Amino acid sequence: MNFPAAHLEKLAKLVDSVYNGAVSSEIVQADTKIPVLKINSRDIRKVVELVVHHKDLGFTYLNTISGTHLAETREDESLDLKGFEMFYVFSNSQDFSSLAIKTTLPENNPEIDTIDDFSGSANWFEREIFDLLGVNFKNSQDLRRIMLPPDWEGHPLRKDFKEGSHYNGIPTTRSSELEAIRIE
Amino acid sequence: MSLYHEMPENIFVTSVDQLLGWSRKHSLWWLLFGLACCSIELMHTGGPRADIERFGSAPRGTPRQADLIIIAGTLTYKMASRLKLLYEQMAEPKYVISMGSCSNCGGLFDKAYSVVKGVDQIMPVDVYLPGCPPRPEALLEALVILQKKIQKEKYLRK
Ligand code: SF4
Repeated sequence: MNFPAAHLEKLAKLVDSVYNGAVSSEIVQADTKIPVLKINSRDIRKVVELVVHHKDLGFTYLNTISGTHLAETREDESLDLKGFEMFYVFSNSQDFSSLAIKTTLPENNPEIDTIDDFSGSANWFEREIFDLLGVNFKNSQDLRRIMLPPDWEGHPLRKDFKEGSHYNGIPTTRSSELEAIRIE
Repeated sequence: MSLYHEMPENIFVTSVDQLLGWSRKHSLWWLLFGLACCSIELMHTGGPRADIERFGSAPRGTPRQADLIIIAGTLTYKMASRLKLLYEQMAEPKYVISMGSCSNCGGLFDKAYSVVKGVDQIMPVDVYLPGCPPRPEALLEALVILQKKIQKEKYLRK
């Protein structure tokens, strides 16, 4: 179901009015099925608190948090190219509409405040992004690797990730062809 | 008249090697262990159509009772140490079938950061079974090839 258009127009203004202009936000991609609200990364906790708790919004269900490392040049130069792009997708359990909050983080030392006290499921999403992209979630309750082994080095979904020649004594490349076995 | 013709019908003569090989190859118990999509085919092989048990090959829940481990699926680095532990817990003599492209050489995860490029990097393999995934018939064929290998072994004369 689509986000109610009336809400959409009000949303950016609402963010503006609640925080008296201290939090800047803009609706980008209002025509897609999930509208995207673009914010500055330092305001993430304020905006999430608003969309979760405000009586007109009530996006209480966190669908996902996703991260992308942008390191390649794109044709459209208006895009913010270097760094990390984060999407927080929330849903409203009353009318099943969704809202995405988008923010970007710098290429060097990316960090953002955790939101795991607003939604318990946020912790695993944040651990995944920390594991694969190396984004640091400040004040997280439990920020450990979630999928890769604890002794893993590096963050493999970064564009500049370099694989070592061995992991725990196991070669990471294969040189020899399979030897055919023959049994008469 | 040889001795052979004087014996009653319910007695037959063979060599110890052959008898041992025959009994060992028809009691190849395998460790119930699967890793990825190939293990779905492994389950089918245990099902009524392919029915791997008619070759005397029964699934076992513990490595201590198993003679054979079928590496069915994608082996990641995180799993590699656990798999090695399972393999080391099995009693000698033990056999390994590498089932599917992933465990043969990494398969379609050849460029992946998390996948071991072939299970023979961490343990010896007796039979490589190609396919993505191999059909249950192919797994049975691999088992028969392994049985032939076991039959030819001189187990007591090592
Ligand atoms: S070889 Fe193919 S079917 Fe088997 S585990 Fe790999 S991807 Fe899955």
